[in-house]
Amino acid sequence: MAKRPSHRGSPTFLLATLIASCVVSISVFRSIAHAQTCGPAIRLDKDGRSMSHVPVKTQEGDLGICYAFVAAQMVDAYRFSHAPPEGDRDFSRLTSPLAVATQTQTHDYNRDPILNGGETHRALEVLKSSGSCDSRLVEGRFNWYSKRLVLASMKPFLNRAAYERAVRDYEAEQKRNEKSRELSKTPPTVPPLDKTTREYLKTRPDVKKMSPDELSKLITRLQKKDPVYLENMSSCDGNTNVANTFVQSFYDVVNGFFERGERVIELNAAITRSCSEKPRHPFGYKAHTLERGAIYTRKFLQKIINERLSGPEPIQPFKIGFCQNILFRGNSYRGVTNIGLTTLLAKNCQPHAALIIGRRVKDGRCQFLVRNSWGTSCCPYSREWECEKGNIWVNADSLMENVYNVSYLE
Amino acid sequence: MSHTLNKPAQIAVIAAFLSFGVSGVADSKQSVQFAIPNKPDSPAKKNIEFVLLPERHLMISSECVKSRAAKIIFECAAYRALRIASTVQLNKEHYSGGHPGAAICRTPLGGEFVIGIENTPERDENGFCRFKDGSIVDVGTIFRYALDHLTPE
Repeated sequence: MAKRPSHRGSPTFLLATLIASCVVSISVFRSIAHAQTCGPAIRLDKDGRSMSHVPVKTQEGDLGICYAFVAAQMVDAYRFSHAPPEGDRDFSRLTSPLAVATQTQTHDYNRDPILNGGETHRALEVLKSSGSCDSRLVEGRFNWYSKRLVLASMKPFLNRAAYERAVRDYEAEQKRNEKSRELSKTPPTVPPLDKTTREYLKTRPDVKKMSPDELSKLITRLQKKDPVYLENMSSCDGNTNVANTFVQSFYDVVNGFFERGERVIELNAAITRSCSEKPRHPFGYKAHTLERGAIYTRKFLQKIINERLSGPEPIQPFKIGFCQNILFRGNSYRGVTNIGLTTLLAKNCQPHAALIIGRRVKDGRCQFLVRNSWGTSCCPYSREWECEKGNIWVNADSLMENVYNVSYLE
Repeated sequence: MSHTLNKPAQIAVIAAFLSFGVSGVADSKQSVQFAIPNKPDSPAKKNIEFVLLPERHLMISSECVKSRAAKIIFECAAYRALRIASTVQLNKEHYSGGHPGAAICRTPLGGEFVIGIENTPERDENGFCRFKDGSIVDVGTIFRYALDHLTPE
């Protein structure tokens, strides 16, 4: 019987074995290296850590105040993870992103009717100096379209029978259309009209002849022009229980404000006056912002994040300024390039701000958990990324290729 | 030995295959509840159930489901809107940090943006687009379909 020729000693076999073992070794070493540079897995939104009581929030289209959402969540994480007087455990009192945006833009661009495109590090500075504003109060403030409040405000100007009829109609409508028992238990609030509006209405002889609807329209027109009226219309405490159960869509309100020629400074005045009645939190944090460039390279920024995620508790989330296309287009997208000292953003970068709130190693690769401000939906994101209720696991290397700055609190 | 099954066994195999097909679809489907304000200016809210199909990047109110057969069929204004969702009308400002899906909801699609709060202790939020027939779709879904020009099957 002829002996079967063996290839085991042939040069081709040896070369193939060598290449295969090299490939295996490289991948093993890379996995180990990734795991070592990555550090242990951590979730800041679990196990009572700093983000455990900071819910996923959503913002709206054209306002573009992601920087304010990020700053608000950073400050809440700081509050909830520090003992008094630095922090507190009032988890239902969340910082209002809208107030953060108006405060920040008032400081920087108070003459422009613009809220979008702000910077997180400025927002953090402003928050540190002026404190945070309870989002329930701000949302309650913008509930001025509430028919009940408008009705209540009309009371002094209607004869008793007309007012009672209007209230009866309103309550009947409520019973027909709404099953909310909570609302019907809410005691009626009668917010005072401001003096200017009162005086103005007294000068109008036709007011007494107006129907509730006509008067309502008139008051709505007046209040829209006057932020002071807005403030008086909805006292903070009176609206808190409404705001607790209701998130007001403030897009139309804010844009309507600007369309009427108001400036950020007026909007800010209307918002922040409501907050002054409540104690504000003294913030002793130090905000650091590192802009990517020749000194703070991508690798350096990644190293800082990894080191601090492995550091002592309470570990704080990181804000990243990045090209959001990485979330939709997946691993291959690159939006940031460094040429010399300059950091360039691609045309389709779509600059955005979000938080890094976790880390893990998956399939030998280090991943960061990104908390976006677009709600719990995972539908917008690339299938390459695993997503849990609006928090997205993104390969750390690919993410950092698209990051142009990092901020954190200390 | 014959490998041919008798008739009752064949029926059992077919039934098992069909039930696997149906349950396979049902397994990939999840549902989630959000409290959505009845009107943007109303504090009253209603619990709405949403169907979640991660493979299809789809979260839509369950009233849109017209058939729960092997392939789920949807019929409502929100689902029809996904066919025409497009990023064409978006400009640079729409990409300045906000949710582009919310902008598409308003202008080209004519929907109404509402914020829902999930019925969990965390009270997480999500943005939705509501249409005149009352059907609701997640704005993240709108953006994904607009981005990819996906046509719902």
